[in-house]
Amino acid sequence: MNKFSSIFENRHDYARDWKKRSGGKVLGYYCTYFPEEVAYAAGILPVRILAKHFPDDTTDRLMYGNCYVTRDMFNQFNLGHYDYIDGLVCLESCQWWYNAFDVTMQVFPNLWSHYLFTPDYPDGNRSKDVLRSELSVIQKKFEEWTGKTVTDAELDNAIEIYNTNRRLLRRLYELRRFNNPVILGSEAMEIMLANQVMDKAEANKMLEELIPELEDRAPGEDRVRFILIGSETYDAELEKLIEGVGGNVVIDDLDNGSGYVWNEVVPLKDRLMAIGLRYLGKPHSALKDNVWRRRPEQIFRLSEDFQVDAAIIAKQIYCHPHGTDMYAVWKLLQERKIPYHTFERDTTLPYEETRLGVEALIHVAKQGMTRANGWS
Amino acid sequence: MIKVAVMRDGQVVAKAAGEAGCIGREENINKLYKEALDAAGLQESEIEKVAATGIGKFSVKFAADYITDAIAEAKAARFFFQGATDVVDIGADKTHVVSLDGDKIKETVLNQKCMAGLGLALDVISHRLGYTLDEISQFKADAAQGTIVNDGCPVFAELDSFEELNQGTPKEQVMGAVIQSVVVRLNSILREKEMPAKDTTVLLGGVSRNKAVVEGLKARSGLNFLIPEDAVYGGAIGCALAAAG
Amino acid sequence: MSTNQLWETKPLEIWDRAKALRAYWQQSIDDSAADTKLLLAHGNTGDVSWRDYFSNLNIIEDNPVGAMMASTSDEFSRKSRLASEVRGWGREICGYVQNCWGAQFLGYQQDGSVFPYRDLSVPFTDPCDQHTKRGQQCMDLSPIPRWGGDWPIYLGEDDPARDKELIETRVWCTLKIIADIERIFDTEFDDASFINDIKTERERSDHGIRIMNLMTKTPSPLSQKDLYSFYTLGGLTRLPPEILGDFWQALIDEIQWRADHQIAAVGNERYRYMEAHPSPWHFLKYMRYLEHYGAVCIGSQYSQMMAGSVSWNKETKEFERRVIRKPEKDVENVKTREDAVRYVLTEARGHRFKDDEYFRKNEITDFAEGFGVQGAILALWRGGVGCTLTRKEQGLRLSKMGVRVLHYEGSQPGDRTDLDEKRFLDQIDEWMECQGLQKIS
Repeated sequence: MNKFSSIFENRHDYARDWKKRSGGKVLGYYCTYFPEEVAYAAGILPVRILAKHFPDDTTDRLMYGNCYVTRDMFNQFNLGHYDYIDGLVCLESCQWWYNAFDVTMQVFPNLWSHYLFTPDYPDGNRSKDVLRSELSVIQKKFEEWTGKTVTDAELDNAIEIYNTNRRLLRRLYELRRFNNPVILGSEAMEIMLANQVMDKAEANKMLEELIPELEDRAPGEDRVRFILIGSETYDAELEKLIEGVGGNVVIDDLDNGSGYVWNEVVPLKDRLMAIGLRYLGKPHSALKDNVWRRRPEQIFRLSEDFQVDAAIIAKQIYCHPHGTDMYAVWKLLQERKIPYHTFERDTTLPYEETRLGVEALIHVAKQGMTRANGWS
Repeated sequence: MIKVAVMRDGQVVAKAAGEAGCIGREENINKLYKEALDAAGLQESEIEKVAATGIGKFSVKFAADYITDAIAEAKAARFFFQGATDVVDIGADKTHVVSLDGDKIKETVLNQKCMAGLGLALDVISHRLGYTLDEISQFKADAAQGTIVNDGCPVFAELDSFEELNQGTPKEQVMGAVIQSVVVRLNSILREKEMPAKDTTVLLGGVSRNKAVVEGLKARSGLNFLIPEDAVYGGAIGCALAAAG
Repeated sequence: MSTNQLWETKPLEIWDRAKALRAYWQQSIDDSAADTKLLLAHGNTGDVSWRDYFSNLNIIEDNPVGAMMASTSDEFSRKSRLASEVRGWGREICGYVQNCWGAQFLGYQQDGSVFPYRDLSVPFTDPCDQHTKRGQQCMDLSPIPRWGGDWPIYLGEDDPARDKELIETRVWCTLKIIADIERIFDTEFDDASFINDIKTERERSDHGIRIMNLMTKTPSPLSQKDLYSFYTLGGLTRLPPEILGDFWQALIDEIQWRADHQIAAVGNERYRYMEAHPSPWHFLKYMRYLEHYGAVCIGSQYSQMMAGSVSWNKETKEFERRVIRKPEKDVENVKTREDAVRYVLTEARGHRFKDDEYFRKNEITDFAEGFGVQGAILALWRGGVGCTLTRKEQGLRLSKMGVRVLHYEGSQPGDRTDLDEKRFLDQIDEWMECQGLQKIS
């Protein structure tokens, strides 16, 4: 566990070290709809750009109205934290991410870059064809960039490594289904985040050692069980806060959480099609849940499967995907009588305010409204 | 704050400053005006023209002219330092950067519609933490010792401050972090368009008196601010100069 | 003329007709709750005018409704936004949508009449995330069909092979929407009229280009404030072609006459400024305020959007239609529904007024050059995404070419809450005076 935490905390050093060891290139991405397998097959390390709070006096010049996350991503480039990044890829996804990508490219024009169209209507009949076409384009771009052809064998290898990673991370989730889970939400999230900046082959080895150890752990304390819903996360501070007051995030509906691992690539002869289908078929993000909705049912299913007592909704200020989707989420939680608390966060987590809200929710959840007490 | 400057033949002959107040503003204006006149040994009838500038300028009902802030600040900067190319005015409720091109105003930057980085944010939070503005002015650059609070929003900064105190962080460190957050936001405003010139930027406004903020901003921005003795009255002086033509 | 007046002015003769059209549109909304037509929730105009070709459909778009609410009743708008916010809609997100769908939650409109609940939703998936999510609140209230069409883009050089796939997706989405509406609502799409109207649509955007070019003249025969009224007619509000009829031609003729005779929109025009994207609808009087300085707003890429995708020809000194790719078939050979959809969807990208945010960084500077502007007012809308994206960058680009830029802040054009009108006017005064301009009227 500590190894993953350490890699997460020292992710820039990890990436620099990887570059030295492998001689490969590092590609930054923003959105978890990015089909990493294609980059990995090309010998590139895809790393998710993670926000962290740093004093920001570099972004106002080129940004306005952005959520803190995207400001910070750009700020970190300006501060030199991502000086090892060789290229950036942006998707048809959140526009603030696009903005972060665009302004970063303006200030660092020598970075390799690419824009990948990913359908906002993932379930459309043609979405798989257009994404497959886009993957074919980016594969060629990777080949031009690296100077080597991506073979089917390399794609197969990447698919297998990534599927293994998803399976292993999914096992961590499954361990949290049980009463008194052996792993806390904060521990699980730090592992998830570390995996999003690591070479998956290395991560898999570490997970294969860790999971048996976890399975042998003594059951955890009795805690109120939460589902975490909302904007993507970049640290485990919220989970730690919740644990500090007697709760535990046992499941999430986050794109960088359960959405990252919930489905696998089903191998097909047409590898790019197979990869595309996996990303189109993953649990809908707020932004991609557009035609007939899937997200509310996904949230409910996770809540049921993981026996949650209550929901925490954490939204970034100026996060419009989650700001616009919130009505449907609240409606679901109200209809299914799941207690919830919503709060907004900015560059820093408003600790005291959040703690009060979570404590109150725990009180509500414990007051005869929990599953354990026969809530219907 | 209301500042009054009385000028004759291009020289400052008297000044007065006081709280604007949320209520009784006009009375405060009148009172300070009279105070300035008394200090100058003048009667109202001897005043050729009254002009007002700043956010509350239209509260000065007896003003014959209202001068745009940027023009007043530019005039003041050149009055204090002939070779000034930029002026930064940091007050309680406004931070303004004015860049000059010869005698013309080339560009202006105003703080966003938010308290972040303003004197008011410093005032409110320092008060909450039990400090006076004079006390925090003496804080050293490393007072924060690694503690960080939100620099984008003073409301969040205040919440962060409480959290830090609850977790046992010494009050001085927390205040140091707040000062740092104000400095970061001010530097962001300075960088918004074209960075002011290193050695010919005049600093005006009430916050110019806060040594901790000024030193922090100098270190962060790399600017060697020119700070006149009457920096606090810069707007008023510039306004008078503009009104005089 | 007074001594301050530099040009002759004359009220537009076409106002009465415009007002009648506006009243017609309003009536269609007022009647829509009572009539038997299906109501379609529609963000902005897309490539197909649903009402024109489905005889049992009426359209109410949330943008103009939200904007209208903001400009006519602060009290009702706030009430609506609160109704939206307490149900979870982000309080900092898109005032138009909050206004419109907030009224849905209240169940009534500003005049007390029943809210016209929608029967289906076809939002315009513009590259603004809030458009992508537009029209979901009516779907989430009680399930109605909602469709999304992708609007693919990519950066870098034009790539015809890549375009082909992206266009196919757009074509498929559009055909699916039409087929689904036919199936679900047991109705028929009027293919013949759709095919016939493609030519009309092109003429309308030709009119738009003509108006753009006429407004580059000094003095400008039309100001943006006037233009906004016309831009919404037939554009956002999608009035039926038979109603619009020769309105556009009459408008063109009048503007041409004004340009030929140097009849100005603003009689003391001595300063021209542009904008970007929506203005605060509830406070358009700032444009009248600026006229006291002799400043006229000649428009923005948003208001000039009726012209379609244009580029500035530095040699001919005119805006001209920008066509990257011609349709596969000429309009004369468009025979089927699919032909027609393919005809209107010729390019995988090209967001018209949003081009400069993605791949034509010169677009805004060309616009400034074409209109000969000295200044630009670029609003910073906290609650808007597409409204605000790249506005800071555009400001820097314009500043670099010598255009004086004013940024002001508000929540969103449909939400007056955070727009400090006094501060904005103070900023305008400073912006003008710092450029050596004093009020002259």
